[in-house]
Amino acid sequence: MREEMDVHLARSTERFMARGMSEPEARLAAQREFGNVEYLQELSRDVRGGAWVASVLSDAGFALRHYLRTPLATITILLLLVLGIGVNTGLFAVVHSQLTAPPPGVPDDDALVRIRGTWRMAERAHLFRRGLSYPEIFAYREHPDVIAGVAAWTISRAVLEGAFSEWPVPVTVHYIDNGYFELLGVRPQIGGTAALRSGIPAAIIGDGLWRRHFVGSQDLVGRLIRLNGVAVSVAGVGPADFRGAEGLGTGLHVWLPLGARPAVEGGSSNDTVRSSLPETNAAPSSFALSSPDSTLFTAVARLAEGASLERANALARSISDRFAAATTDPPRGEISADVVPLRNSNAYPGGEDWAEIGAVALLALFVLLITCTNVGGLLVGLSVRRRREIGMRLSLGASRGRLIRQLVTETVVLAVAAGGLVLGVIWVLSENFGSRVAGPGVAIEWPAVGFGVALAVVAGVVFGLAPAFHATRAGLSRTVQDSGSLISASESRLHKGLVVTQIALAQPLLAALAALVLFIAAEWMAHPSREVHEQVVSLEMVGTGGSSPDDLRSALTRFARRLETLPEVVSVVPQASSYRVYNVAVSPSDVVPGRPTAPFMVREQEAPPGYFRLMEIPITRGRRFERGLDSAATSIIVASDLARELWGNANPLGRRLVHVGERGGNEEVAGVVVGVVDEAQAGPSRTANGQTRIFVPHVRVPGGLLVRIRSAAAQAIPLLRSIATTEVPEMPVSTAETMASIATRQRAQMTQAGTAVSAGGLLVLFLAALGLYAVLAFTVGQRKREIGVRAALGAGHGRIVSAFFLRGLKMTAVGLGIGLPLSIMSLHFISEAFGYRGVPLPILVGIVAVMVLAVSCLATWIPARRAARVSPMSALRVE
Amino acid sequence: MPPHNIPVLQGTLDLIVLQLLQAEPTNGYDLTLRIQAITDDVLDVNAGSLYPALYRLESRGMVRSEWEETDARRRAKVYGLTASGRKHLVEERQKWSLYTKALAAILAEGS
Repeated sequence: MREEMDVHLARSTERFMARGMSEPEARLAAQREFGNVEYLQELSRDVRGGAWVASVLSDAGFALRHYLRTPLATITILLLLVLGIGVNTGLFAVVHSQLTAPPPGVPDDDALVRIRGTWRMAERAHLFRRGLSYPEIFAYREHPDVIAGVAAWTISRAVLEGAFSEWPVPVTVHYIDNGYFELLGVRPQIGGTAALRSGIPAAIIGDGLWRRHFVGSQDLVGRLIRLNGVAVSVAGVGPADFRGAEGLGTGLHVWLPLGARPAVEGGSSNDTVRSSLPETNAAPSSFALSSPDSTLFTAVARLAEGASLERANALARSISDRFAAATTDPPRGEISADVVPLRNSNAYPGGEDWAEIGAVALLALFVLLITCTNVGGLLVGLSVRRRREIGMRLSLGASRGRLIRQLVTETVVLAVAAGGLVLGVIWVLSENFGSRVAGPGVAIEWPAVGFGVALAVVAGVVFGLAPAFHATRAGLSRTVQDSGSLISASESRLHKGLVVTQIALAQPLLAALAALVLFIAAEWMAHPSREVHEQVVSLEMVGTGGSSPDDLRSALTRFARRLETLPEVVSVVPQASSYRVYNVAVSPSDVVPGRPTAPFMVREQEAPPGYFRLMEIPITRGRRFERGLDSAATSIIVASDLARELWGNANPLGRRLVHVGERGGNEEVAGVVVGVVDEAQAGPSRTANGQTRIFVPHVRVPGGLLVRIRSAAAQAIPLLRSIATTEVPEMPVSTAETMASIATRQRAQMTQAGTAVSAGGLLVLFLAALGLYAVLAFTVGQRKREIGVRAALGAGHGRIVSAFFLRGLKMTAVGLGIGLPLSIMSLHFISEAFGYRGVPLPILVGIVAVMVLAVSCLATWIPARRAARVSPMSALRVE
Repeated sequence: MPPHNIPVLQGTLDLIVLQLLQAEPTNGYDLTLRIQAITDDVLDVNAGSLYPALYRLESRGMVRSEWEETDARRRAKVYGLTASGRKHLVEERQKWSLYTKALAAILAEGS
């Protein structure tokens, strides 16, 4: 615009000069003829609709000057916004990552899908994951119009020797189909996958394993390692972050061809026929690969071009129906399969992941709402302080809309500043710690972060609208009237409403966090730390290739006998590598009137003869398990708390538990009680996720030994390892640590989780308390003259304090009442999602309400005390 | 004696601009000169009225503009009609024609 007008002026000047004027005269004449350039530019801007831009920029400048004049309030609001936006954005990024991100290290590809076996029990609605058989997965290859490629895998544990470490390393082994890496679009960062198909036993090792136990060596390809004693050549190193198509935890991973499984798994596998390496897809020969009953596998596939998920799901259902009919021992219930996009969060059907994602999303929403109501309350308070200025501007002709726009612009400036700070912090964190700063499996993706910040900023602005409307409702006359009067205007309903909302919203959040803390605490208490743990070593051992289960059992027995000859060893018992979980109920003939009869889920803890003596767990009734007497029988031992719960004061010995649901009817005996142990030493029977421990005498699949040492067990570990190396080379020790060390590690993880959740709870309480304190403190400030008058007229200290204290309590009570049903809903959700069965829900709701009340009382008491200290003289002088 | 130089009647500037731009796309300065030349200096259209009118018509999509280099090696912003502008010009000319006929009829009645 300016250039155009300059051109016009220049040509006018030339025209006047052509008439004989001098240049200065011509220029002056041209300007006179043209008119006021600045005014014309502004007029033109208005015509083009650009006036509002200048106006908004002017408002933003005013906002900045205003905030610089009130630094304390500005910093408080900014910090609150940064906190709320930051937490919300972080949680949103987690949810987004879980919902949309593929497993770590796998490229985002819409054609990649999971094939999931599903199973639903007849009696319950939950959908469980079931393994697929290899023939079932192979059947997908017969439909290339729907499925362009499919790859199966199964996972196990093994012991790796040949790493740059003193002892063998326990690893997670993925036995994979040919073409697994190619189908996923994953390329090793070192080496390649060709060797996996070459016929030579070869493995790809994971990035974590490579860095930790091979010191990131670049000369690894071709190096020989041993997995469960089987020699394997390293073909390459997987990409950073990649942990397989299931995105498993932070363990150490190795990928082997499926054909290597019989040799490496050896006696611990289900194979009855051993096959030689490698297996080809065309001719599966071993039991595990050929039988529809061997449901070991999981699968990932690539959709054919043009094929939809609906067609793939229809195919999955028809194939699962065909193979369900082919199994020799189908479980009760509904067998099916589904096909879903390959995401980090959907390895399991049935809602477990959705529950966690839903919980995180709700948490984010509540945090945002609490922050916004807090900020809204502070803004209302600040705008009331400016009521004279606002009233004056309204009287001078400013429209209400114009003022509202200015106040909203001020909120936008704050919200955008807070959003910018959050983005800056995230950028710094991700530059220093990488995109996985939020933890493994959670990627910080900038579109998601940007969306999260924008959403929070918009929410902040929306909540700023209410204070803006509220501030502009009174005109100058009302403002002057209020300021001249000795009696202040009544408290704003909006202000009170915002505080009540904060208190109401804080409750369900606190209730959920409290339930999580109790869940973690229950798990913590289930792992009591005892002196005897310092003297017990847990040796985890894995069978190597070529050994049958009986071979391994006899090897362990041989090893145990050898250890018992050592002077420092007190006793040795085998330990299990797995446990069973199933539903039971008290046998109808053993029910005690008034005691529960409903079915419950038990988890077997294998405690072979000698276990309780080794662990110094006293038997309070009946007897311990005895060799020869209990090995084949259905004897069980229960802890004293379970015996009390099921049978009260009646004698529990000889009473029976029977199987319920699944494969059994109500008559098959699951266990007969032969003894009761002290729960204080054995740990509580009930776990936080609702399972109940019972002790059984047999070890189905031996996974190592528990060794009791006379003195400190940690020092005996190297000796035990070296004896194992010579005595039982077919069962290398994968881990050797004291029970104390295991308990310490487990408790540390729980402590960490509990601390994080508790910190979240404290933050929520702090925000709610801050809001309540702010409104009451502000009210005290506003009512200073009134308080001065009351004090001058003789009102006592106590009366003034109680007046304000009760005012705050009233708001708290209303907030508690509204928040109560929300708390109950929140706890119900948590207990369903996480199987929490701890403190009864009504008690937990009550505890949270008391906590909120206590904090509210404190937040109310402090400004109430301030009110009582107001001097009548200084209050009446305030203008 | 009638005044030699009269201001443009309100509401007619858009019609004038559209008509002249239809004849030939041009810049704002040449447009003022052309109005003076065609009306023999009777109509007084200054920059303060013309440029807002041009920008208004441009924001309504009736004219478009682009910077060009003139013969005198000077940059100038040249305005031209759009299809919507041509259509609007036809409508305005019809309205003006009806108006002037009605006005003429009234003036003829009195004399």
